[in-house]
Amino acid sequence: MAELDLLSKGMTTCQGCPMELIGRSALEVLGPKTITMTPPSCSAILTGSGDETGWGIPSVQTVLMSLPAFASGVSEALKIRGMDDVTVMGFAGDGGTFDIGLQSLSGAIERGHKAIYICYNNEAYMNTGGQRSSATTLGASTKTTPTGKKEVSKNIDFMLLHTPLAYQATASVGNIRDFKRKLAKAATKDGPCFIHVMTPCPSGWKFPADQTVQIAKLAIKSGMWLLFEREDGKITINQKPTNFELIPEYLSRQKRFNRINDEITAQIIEEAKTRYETLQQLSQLACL
Amino acid sequence: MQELVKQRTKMLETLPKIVGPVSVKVSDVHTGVWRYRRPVIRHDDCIRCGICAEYCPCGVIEKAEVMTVDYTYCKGCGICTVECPKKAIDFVLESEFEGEGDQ
Repeated sequence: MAELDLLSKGMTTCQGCPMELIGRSALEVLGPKTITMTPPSCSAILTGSGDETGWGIPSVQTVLMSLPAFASGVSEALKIRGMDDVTVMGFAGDGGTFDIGLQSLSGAIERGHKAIYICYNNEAYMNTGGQRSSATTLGASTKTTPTGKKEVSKNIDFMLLHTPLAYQATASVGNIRDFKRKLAKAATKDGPCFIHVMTPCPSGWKFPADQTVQIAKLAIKSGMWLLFEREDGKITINQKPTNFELIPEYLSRQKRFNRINDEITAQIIEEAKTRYETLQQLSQLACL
Repeated sequence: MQELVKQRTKMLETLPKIVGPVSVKVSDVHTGVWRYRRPVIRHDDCIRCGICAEYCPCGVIEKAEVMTVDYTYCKGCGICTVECPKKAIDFVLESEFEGEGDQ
């Protein structure tokens, strides 16, 4: 038998899907000694249906609200068996982390099980057709908010700053080496780790498939996405936003922001600036 | 606690190796048929930096002596053509592609 890929090449994700890229990069770092689990989401495509699977490692298809609870169970079972070199990786989208999976995530973090939770944030329920989630940016039109979302998005990174995570980081497909470095660091920790990755969705955000990585890079530059990590109670900002004036360009490159006016654009820029200022002040604190 | 762990370990040992419904087949959809444009590497300009392989979502680009693309699975998203620092990857329409077709 030929050598098995850790993630099969013939996956039926969309053209230019960054979620698949994140899955592949994650396995490149963590290696074959990993157990992964996915909730019903786009990442469930990787776990497959029936007797087919895409992973070359053990994988579990969980229910949407309790992926971290599954991860805790697997983590404890591994501890009893004495298999300390096996990593448990939860791979959920923004729906399974921000909305439906939030209570079990906070519970699993509080209990302190050793596991890595990766949240790939594509800012809507993309697998079911792109309904709004609490991660959707203000002004974005989705299936359930055709005239643009009226509310600002939930900031899960700031929420989780007050939880006993061993390691917390944000990453982006725009900087895949940074993501790999953070994941390698998380794998060495003996406790719950959370990595929040931005994954621009070509079909949901409505931009050409080849622009996926460019959009993610522009988001980092414009300050729409902040790269930072929290370790031992200290926040480190990895990459500073260069120019907040790039935000209108970032918005105009996605058709989901077709309906926004200048007022909402100004509000988005203001929000991004405030977010960065808050993070700067938080990074000066001695402990969190 | 020690006693409990011992008891549990013994219980686990009695179980068969595989429990419950498991997937035994690997997904193998030939996604190359989705493609309407194909990335073609110009080997003269390629510096073999491997950035295209790093950013390929489907993992079809391999860094060997020359960079090779697995056209059986390449979906033709075009991320490699945009990310290439030397712009050494052409994005050719399948209808205009002349040469040995893999599909």
